[in-house]
Amino acid sequence: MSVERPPLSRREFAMLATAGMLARQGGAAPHHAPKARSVILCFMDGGPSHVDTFDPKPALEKYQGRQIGEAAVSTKSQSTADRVWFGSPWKFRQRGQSGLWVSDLLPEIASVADDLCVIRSMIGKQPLHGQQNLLLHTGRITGSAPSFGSWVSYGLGDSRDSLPNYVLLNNDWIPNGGFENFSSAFLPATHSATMLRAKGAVVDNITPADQPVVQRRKLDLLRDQDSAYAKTAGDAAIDSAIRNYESAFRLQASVPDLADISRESEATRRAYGIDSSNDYKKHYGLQCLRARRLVEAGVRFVEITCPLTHSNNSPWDQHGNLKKYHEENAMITDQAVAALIKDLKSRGLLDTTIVMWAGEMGRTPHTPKITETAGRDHHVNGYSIFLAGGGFRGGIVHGATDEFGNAVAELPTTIHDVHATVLHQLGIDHRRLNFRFGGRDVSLTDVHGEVLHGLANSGRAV
Amino acid sequence: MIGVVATFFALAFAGALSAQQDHFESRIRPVLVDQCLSCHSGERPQGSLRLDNRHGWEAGGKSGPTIVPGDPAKGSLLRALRHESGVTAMPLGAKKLAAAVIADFEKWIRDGAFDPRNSSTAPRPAGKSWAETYAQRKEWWSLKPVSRPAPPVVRHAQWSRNPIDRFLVARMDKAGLRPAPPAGRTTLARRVSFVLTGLPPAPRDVYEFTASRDPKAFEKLVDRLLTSVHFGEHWARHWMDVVRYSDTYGYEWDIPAKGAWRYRDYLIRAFVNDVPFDQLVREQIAGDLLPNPRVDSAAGINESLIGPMFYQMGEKRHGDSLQFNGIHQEMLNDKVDAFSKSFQAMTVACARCHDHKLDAVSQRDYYALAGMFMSSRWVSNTLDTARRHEETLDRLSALKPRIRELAGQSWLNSLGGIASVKTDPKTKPAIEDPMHIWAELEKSEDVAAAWRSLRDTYAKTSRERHETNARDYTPLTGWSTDGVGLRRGPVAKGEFAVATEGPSPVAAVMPSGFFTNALSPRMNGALRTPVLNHSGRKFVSVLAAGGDFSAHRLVVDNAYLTERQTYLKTIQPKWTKLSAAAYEKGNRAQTKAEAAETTVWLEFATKTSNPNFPPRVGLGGKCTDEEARDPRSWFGFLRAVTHDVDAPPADELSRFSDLFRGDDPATLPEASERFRQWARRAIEAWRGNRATEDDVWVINWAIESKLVPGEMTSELRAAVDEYRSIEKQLPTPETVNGMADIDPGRDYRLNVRGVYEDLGPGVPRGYIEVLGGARPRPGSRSGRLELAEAVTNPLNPLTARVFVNRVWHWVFGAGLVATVDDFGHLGDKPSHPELLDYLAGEFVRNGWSMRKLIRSLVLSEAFQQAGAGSLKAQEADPLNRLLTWYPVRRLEAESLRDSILAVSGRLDRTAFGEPADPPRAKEDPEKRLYSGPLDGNGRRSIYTKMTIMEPPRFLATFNQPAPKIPAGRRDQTIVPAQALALLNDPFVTEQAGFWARRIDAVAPADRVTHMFREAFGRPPDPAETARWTTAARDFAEIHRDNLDSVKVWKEVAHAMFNAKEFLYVR
Repeated sequence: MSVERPPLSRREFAMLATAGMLARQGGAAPHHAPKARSVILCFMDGGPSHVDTFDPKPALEKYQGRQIGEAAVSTKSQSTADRVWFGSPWKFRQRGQSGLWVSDLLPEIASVADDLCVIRSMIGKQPLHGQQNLLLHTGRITGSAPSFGSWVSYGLGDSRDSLPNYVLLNNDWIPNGGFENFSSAFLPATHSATMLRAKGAVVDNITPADQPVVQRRKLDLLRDQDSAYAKTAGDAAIDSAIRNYESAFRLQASVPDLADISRESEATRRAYGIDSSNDYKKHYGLQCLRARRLVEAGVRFVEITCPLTHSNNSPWDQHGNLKKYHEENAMITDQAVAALIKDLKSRGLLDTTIVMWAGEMGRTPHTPKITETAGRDHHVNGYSIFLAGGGFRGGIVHGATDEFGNAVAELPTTIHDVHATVLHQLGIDHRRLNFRFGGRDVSLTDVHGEVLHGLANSGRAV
Repeated sequence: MIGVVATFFALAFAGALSAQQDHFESRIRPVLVDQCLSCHSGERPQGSLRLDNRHGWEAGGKSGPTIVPGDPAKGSLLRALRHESGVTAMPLGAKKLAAAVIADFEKWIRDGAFDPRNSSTAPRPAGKSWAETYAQRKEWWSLKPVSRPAPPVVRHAQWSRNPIDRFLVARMDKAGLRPAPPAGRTTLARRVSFVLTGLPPAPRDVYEFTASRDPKAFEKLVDRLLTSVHFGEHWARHWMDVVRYSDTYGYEWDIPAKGAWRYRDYLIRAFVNDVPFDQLVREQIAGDLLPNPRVDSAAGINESLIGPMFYQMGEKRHGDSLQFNGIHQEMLNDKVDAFSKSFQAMTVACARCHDHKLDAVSQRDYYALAGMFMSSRWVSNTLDTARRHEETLDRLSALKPRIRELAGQSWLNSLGGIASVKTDPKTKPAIEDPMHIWAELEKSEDVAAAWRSLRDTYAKTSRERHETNARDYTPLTGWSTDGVGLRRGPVAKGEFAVATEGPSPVAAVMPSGFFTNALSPRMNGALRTPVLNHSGRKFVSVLAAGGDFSAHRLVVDNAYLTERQTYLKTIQPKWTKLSAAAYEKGNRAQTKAEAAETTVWLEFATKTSNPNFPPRVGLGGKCTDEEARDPRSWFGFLRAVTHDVDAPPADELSRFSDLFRGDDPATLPEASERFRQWARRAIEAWRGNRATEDDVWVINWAIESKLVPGEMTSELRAAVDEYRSIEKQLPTPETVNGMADIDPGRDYRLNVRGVYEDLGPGVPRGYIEVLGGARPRPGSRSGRLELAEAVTNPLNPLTARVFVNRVWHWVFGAGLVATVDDFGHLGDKPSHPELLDYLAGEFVRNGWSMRKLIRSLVLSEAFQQAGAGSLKAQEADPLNRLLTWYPVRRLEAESLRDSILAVSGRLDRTAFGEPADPPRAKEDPEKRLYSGPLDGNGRRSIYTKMTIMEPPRFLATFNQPAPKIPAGRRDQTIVPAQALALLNDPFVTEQAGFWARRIDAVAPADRVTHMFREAFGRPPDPAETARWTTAARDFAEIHRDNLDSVKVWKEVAHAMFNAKEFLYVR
């Protein structure tokens, strides 16, 4: 029920552009034929240990307890010479047809090993959560720049009023670095993440405060009042603001509908672990299932964050009690992430959906002292993430760390490279996806990043 | 015909050349400069290969031909870049260049390796030296002196009275445009109220203004608004955008930014009192260094000292450069960026890695500024003037001799025996503890023999320790102090703290030293050493006492929020050993050269003087929010020594010589009596005001061991009660994070290509060359005072221009220079350069009066014209750069929320004070992200806590800028979240309810009119009355309720909050 209006004048066009409405009609992309159309980022916040998940290191067991020595100390790890190597508490096995190594910590993800493209040579900037989170999300350790998802939304965003392009499926815990991780910064605000909560109100203010008939009456009243005002004010921004109310009105219906999983089959819900008696697991599964629904509906970028189960700096941040809490985190997330990949696959969506599983860092292969409650500390010199679907080759490994998993040995890969590669699969040239800000064409990858073509076409099989 | 053909070929050739040139300039030269020239240039290049000019690679290097033009398969360069075997992989020690870059080189070589570089003196991409580039760039408009243009003569009578209008209308004339007619009076009243105070006008004010026939009515309205505290609040918030205001420090822990809100209040006062802008700038840059600070004598506060909180804004992380290198370089970049954008609209931070790409700013300029900011320590400063506490402290001081006399007497009257002292049976008392002697005596058969043996042991140990201490330890001097508790200098031996609560009269007796609590435990203090780690000694040991979360803090490399802080928990002074060297276990390894450049110093601080208190949750042990808020905290410092032996000085046990003097006791009762006499002599000495340090020790031991009575005689109680009631009158000292110049200034080393591990030479501290390059005067430390002078110098071409432009932006919605934070090449050029200079000149001539400036703008015809432009104007000048109408704008986030509160009647107009948490969906106690009341108890939005981790959601939805980088210009987006918030947020619906209840007293027939006046500042027209009355009737019908019910009018009120006329100002 929009107001009748003449075509845009030049002035209105300019006003729309400044109001950020123009960019919503889609950025410059795609630059080339896309292989994928959506991304789901399963953010393993806190830093899951690479040497306990995807990067087996028998040497750690062999030399467990032996001091690492000065040569193994680095600024990219919390490290001192007197720390000792610490073998993995979990057994590694080769999985599937590909023989990809996955530890027993993640048995369900192991079951989809043939779909995983594991990068073992991730290298970060500083072994700190805030900085690494912002680096992963915004390409800069200082943040103050658009989120990965915002860039995707900006590059590919559809002109749909009923659905956001970038959705954050949160689990009651905001990762270090804060909301800035998910912000559009200087990109138009429509490209900020819309946050869907696992519990309570799904989205802020999405539930109408009024019964439908009351709200409709108010909107009609406002339409009459505002269109008269728009005439006297003679400003296009007012017209945009009026239309904006209709968009909001539609979102009230479309968002809860997408979030609602009641029409999903019992089997599907069980597959995601929504029947679990563990509250964390249940809600994590719920968010994963919602991720699939969102992607089905055309949302471009979905991020799922982990819950924080106990007083700690972030969920996977096991400086102590590695065994206990890594197992808890795995219990919460493993089944649902695997179910998501399988579900996407069975619906033919995995080919066009990139599932990215990543923490902001890995964990040290060493520890101050071997005890029952030993943990691992921050480590950014070689850690593992995986990509699945979206045209990425399954069952392959890219890059390698040294004998101990203590440093990158082959094919150092930065988060900029990963950003560039994921954008490439989406049909976006990371060097050409720019936004003029502060007088400069700014991009997600800045002057960095290189597309890892081998991951999609030819990679080193295990 | 031939001629034509020749021309055709020439053109084609020229075209090809320019494509090659373009490829070289855009793809090849930058890579050579960035990746190759640091080794392959100059007289002695690596591998004898020069790449800094064409002849270099033509000659080749040790590995033979480097490039064979036209044939990529030959020559070593491409092979080296491809990391092929047989050549050294290049760039050396770095990651392989991107495939695309290597492909660029291949193409370059295949196309003939075009290279215009004939000489080696041109490593710059632009092909020019910095001196040449600089000479050209400094001619930029904003760097030229401010001119003094005369306002043009114009023919419009109405628009020729105010010089501002003359400049504007002259430009309109040129463009063939006319200004809009004057705005209606109700529109104007609403507009000026929002622009000056951020609040809607009171209906009565609108009525009076519109009804007035006084030709000066508008002027009077403006003057009234300009003196309101709400003007200060609204305009302080503008400046807070520029200085990236926040109450917390972000990253993982969102640590509180101590005293941030005092800085906010300081800004409000500055606008209300019209503090000259140059003074305000001087204070923000160097308020701690001013020879004549601005003092608010009524409040007893040094206002100037609050200014440097400007630098203490921005994101900060805990830890230091030894734990995590690279942190403080990021934080420092934040200072350089904020400083240069806020005051000079320059993007100096762009010159961190290289000379500025477009402006007259060199990389050296960046590091010259950086040195000034890093030469000062990041501390908390005490704002209180001496007079604020003087009289009360004198009164307390005067009461002490009597308390000392009475307490001493009461203790002497009932001194207990050592046998009654309770000790922990599990731990053996150490030799320093008198109970060690008693325990030895108790288990001995022969008391006299045991006594003799102990006496000898103590004498021998004492002598040995004395010798060792004299030999191995060097006293550390050169401390500086801050805080009310330390203003009276070190206390004399035997000074004591009166217990401010509880049954005992005395909390502790003090040896000579710096004690913050001599008169009150609420007085604050900080005690700071000089740089420690360049003394050549490994350790520093301090003899100190303290409690209630006072801490000693080891600060490495001027870390903003050091993690190396430990709470003091001892009444008896104890030695603590700390590593004075930069390198210690748990840190990254440093080379000797690095260690020599690292600084380490030590600071003692009470809670309020500690810039990292309360720290991140858990650091140093548990501290509840309640404990953190309690201002009580104290420390006492006796002395410090430096040393190489790995232990602090030993207790010399000299106090025991007096115990052992005289005959040996033969029995335990006799021995007990010796302890009693020992304590008695100490107390008597103290009562007589002649206590030694040993006496003080003995008395404190007696107090701790409960050998002296815990309760008071009635006479003593009366004296102590009087003391306590006076102590309560002492105002708690106020502190704010700031800076202190304590050390000699240190030049900062240039980070080659911005890489902090790659240190170039130190760059002499000073201001940006193009702005005069002022250097610190001899004897000056950081040079910030000189910097402040350079910025506030009336000849500075930017300071006044930048600020008047900001004010223009805040008044008219867009600056004369639209890019208010960037007057450089990437910024916009001024729409009215003469007007900008005229305003800047007038601003300085008017004594930098912000109020006069703002007043002159709002009194212009341009401000008072209608909010809709003619069709012709809209077509010709769609962005309204010529200001042919007053632009319509959405209310800023704070004004929007405040308007809802004002109209609902919930607005609490109280000004100033601590911020309140916004409502949050979920609390996070670990980050102190608590949820506040839904409507913030009606306080204005400026008093809502700004947390970097989770900014106030309602305000952020309406484009309140994220608090990390200067944002002189806010976004104005239109997104569904805004409509959803206004439609569904419980804050908005709750306020609608308040409003509906408030107007319940108004007759139903008058309500629409009444509400229109409150919300829009005008009465409705008949069609509107009908429209809203019908709607009210419909709501009544839907709810099956009476037409006058609160429920019905809540719906009306809620709709009105959503009306665009409410949300926009025109």
